[in-house]
This record gives sequence, C-alpha cells and structure tokens, in this order.
Amino acid sequence: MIGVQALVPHMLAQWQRHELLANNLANISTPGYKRDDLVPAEATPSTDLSAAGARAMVQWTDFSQGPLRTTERSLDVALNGAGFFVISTPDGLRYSRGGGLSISRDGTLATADGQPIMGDRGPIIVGQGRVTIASNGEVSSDGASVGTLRVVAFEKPYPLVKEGNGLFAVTDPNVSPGPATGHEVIGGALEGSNVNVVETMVGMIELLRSYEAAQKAIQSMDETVRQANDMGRV
Amino acid sequence: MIRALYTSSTGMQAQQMTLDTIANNLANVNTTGFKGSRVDFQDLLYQTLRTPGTAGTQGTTVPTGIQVGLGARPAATNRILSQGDFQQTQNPLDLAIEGDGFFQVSRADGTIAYTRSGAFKKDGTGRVVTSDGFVLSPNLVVPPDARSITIGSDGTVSITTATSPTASQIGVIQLAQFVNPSGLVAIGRNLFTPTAASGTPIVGTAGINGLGTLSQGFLEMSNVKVVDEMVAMITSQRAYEANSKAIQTADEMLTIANNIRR
Repeated sequence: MIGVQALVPHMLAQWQRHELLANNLANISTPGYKRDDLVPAEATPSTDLSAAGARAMVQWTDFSQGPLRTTERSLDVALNGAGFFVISTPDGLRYSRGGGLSISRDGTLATADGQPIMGDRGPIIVGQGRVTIASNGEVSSDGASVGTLRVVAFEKPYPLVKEGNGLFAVTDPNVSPGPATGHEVIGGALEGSNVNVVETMVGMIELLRSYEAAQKAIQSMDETVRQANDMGRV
Repeated sequence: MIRALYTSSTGMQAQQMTLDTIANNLANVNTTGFKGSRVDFQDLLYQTLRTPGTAGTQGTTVPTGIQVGLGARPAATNRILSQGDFQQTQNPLDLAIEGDGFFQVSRADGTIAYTRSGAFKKDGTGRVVTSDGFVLSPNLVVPPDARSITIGSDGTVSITTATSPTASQIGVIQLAQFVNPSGLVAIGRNLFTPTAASGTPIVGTAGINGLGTLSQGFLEMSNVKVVDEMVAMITSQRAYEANSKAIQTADEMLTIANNIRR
C-alpha cells in the first residue's frame, strides 16, 4: 500500500513538531529562550511522487526579540535588538542573549553557571563594588568603568545551534561573528522567552488534527483494501 | 512522543518551583530584613536527531538538521538584594542598614552568621542580641545604668547615664559585605552564611568602602512586592496549565496512533 507509506513520514513529522512545541512551552519562563518550530521546506526539489504527501519539513528557530521586563537586580542583562553576548566556556566561545548574571568568587562577571561573560578586553572583573550596566554595554563597579560587554552579530540565517543552558554554539567553525550594530544593552532587565502561548496552542491543535487526519486516511485505505480482498468472496 | 511527555513534565516542575519560591516570598512579606528570591531557568540539553550538513533522502543535504530540546531546568535562585522599605519604630535598638552590608551575629556554635534584620534586644546580661538570642558581633554590652542609647550612622554606640549626662562611647557596630552577596546561603531565622560562591566577608565601618549607613529607630521591611508576586503567580499558573496541555496532546496522539489498527 504505497499511499499508506507516504503518510508515515507525515505523521512522524507531526510527532516531531509536537516535541518542539512541548519544549517551547517548557521554556516559557526561560530568559532569552528562542522558540523552535517545524516548517515546510521552501521549494524542495522533489520528483518522488510517494513523498508528495509529506512535504519535507525543516526545523527553524525564531530569533525574534522576546519581551523585555525590568527586574530589581542590577546583574540582570538583556539585549534589545539583534546580537549576542559572548560567553567563555571550557569548550570555547558560546553565544547568549543574556539573563541573570552572577559574580564569581574572584569577582568576575559570569553567567548563572559561573562561565565568564566576555568584555571587549576579555573577562570583566567587577570586584566587590556595586555593578551597573549602561545601555552601551559599559559595566561599572562603584561608578568606575571596568569594561564593556562584547556584543556580536551573525549573518542570517544564523549558523547557530542550541546547546542548552541558554547558550548557542556556531555550527560551522569557519564562521566568525562581526560586531553588532543597532542594539541596546539593558541592565536590570531580562528578555523573556519569545514563545507565544496562543500560537503554540493553535500549533498543537493543528498538528494533532493533521495527525488524526492521516490516521483516518490510513484507516480508510485499509478499509478499501479489505473490501477489495472480500470482493471475490461469495 | 515519550520524550515530549518528559519535556512537558520538566516544564511543569519548573513552574512548581517558581510557585514554591513565590509562596515563600509572600509568607515573608512582613519579615524584617527579608530579601525575596526568584528562580531563573535555562533550557535543558538538546538531542540532535539529524545533524546539519548530512545527506538527505534524495541526494540533497540537510540544511538545518533537527534538534529536539528536552525541557527546562532551574539554573539559580537569585536573591533580590534591593533595599526594603523603612519602618519607624522609635525603639533605640532597632537598626536599619541603608545600602549594602550585613550585621554579624555569633551563633551558638561560635560561627558568625549575617543578617539584614536589625531588630536587636538586650539580654539578661545587657548584651545586644537578635530576637533568637544570637549575640551581635563584635560584642556590645549595654551597662545596666544606661538611660539612653544613641547609635550613629557609622555604627558608633554611645550611652548616657544618670550620673554622667554627657555621652560616652561603649562600642562600634561593624558591618560585613561580600563580593557576591547572592551567593550567601539562607539558613532561616533571617540569617545567611557565607559559601565559596559568596567569598569571604569583608568587615568594615558603616558608611565607608561601599557599606551602607545605619539608621537608629528604624527597621528594614521585607523587599517583597505583593503585586509583583501575584502577577508572577498568575503567569506561573498559566504556564503550568500550558505544559499540561502539551501532555494532553501527547496522550491524544498516542491514542490516535494506537487506534490506527482497529
């Protein structure tokens, strides 16, 4: 039954889409989270008729701006506009949209996991002073400038994969980011997740019904074949 | 599909933790010197189903690959160390710190703990103690014949007695601060203890080197804002609900799959 075979990848794609949407909802309160979705690939060259029932789907990460909300914590940092902060990890440089920073024991500005966030001259040592972050990314400790947060930009589509812990890694080692422009660093604020509940719920209904429709189609094909098999019976 | 069920359950657990934190913040809305907390989340690890750049089915290469995230995890509970409101009490041993710093108190085992709550009292021997009887450090003993106690903004404690109406200094209240005060561990009873993350305490005179000043006759109230907590509670509850819907959808899809074969 060729028709049934064509419906299987379609159903699998709906499963996969649900996994992505479930992860979006799980990260609805994760600062700097960017939502994933499965979208039809544009102009996929396909001459294979059996694949016509299931258009190729590709994963897509929506890097659009999340809502900004102010907090009362001077170590929270967010970006308004395109760009990424640079985080130094044991595996090399990673990129992040900010979040709740911390100060490590030696006075270095770091992520919640203790990985240093990079300034224009390397890690930023704030010591024990009162930290403020200005809109040009300048970090001050007790009023004295101690460095400027490095903000970089990539060409679209972003060559980034998620690594968890709010970090993005570059997929292609030959790609290096350039300096970002037209952004604003906001201290004492967090960028919320860009997951939209309504959109996600509608997406879930959509994929559920599409999944169900494929099931019905398989069932009706099954029924047709069964009737055909029964035809010769007296 | 089982993956999605667990992903959503991490989302629900995350929201549950937010609610736990909000509940504790609200329970301490009238606790002197209390500092509210907030849970920060991060996305959990990702499972790569198809690596970008590998060969697709029809001689094409996969442009973006597929990575499925496995949910959210709490990354940190951040203590919001903003200043609480002041409440005037007229009690001479009530102290509020305006700015950074902590009072030092000795615990029963001799170790020092740190607090923002300045509701001090005298014990039977005249020592200045917290409501739980922990002694202020360095020790401060108020003589029994003291008529008035004056504490300056720099922590200098002076008294007058019936026989000597001119003020005489009996000690100085010192404050401690930390490189990373968010790294302190709350041990209950309004007390904090240092950790490797907070760094060692730096003790100094109030009003110097970034330390706050003292206000006598005032208490610092909790910095929890009820409205903010209520809003956080609503959003957290709705997010919890949204995650439960994802579980329902997964369940329904499993039912559909099972029913293909009637």
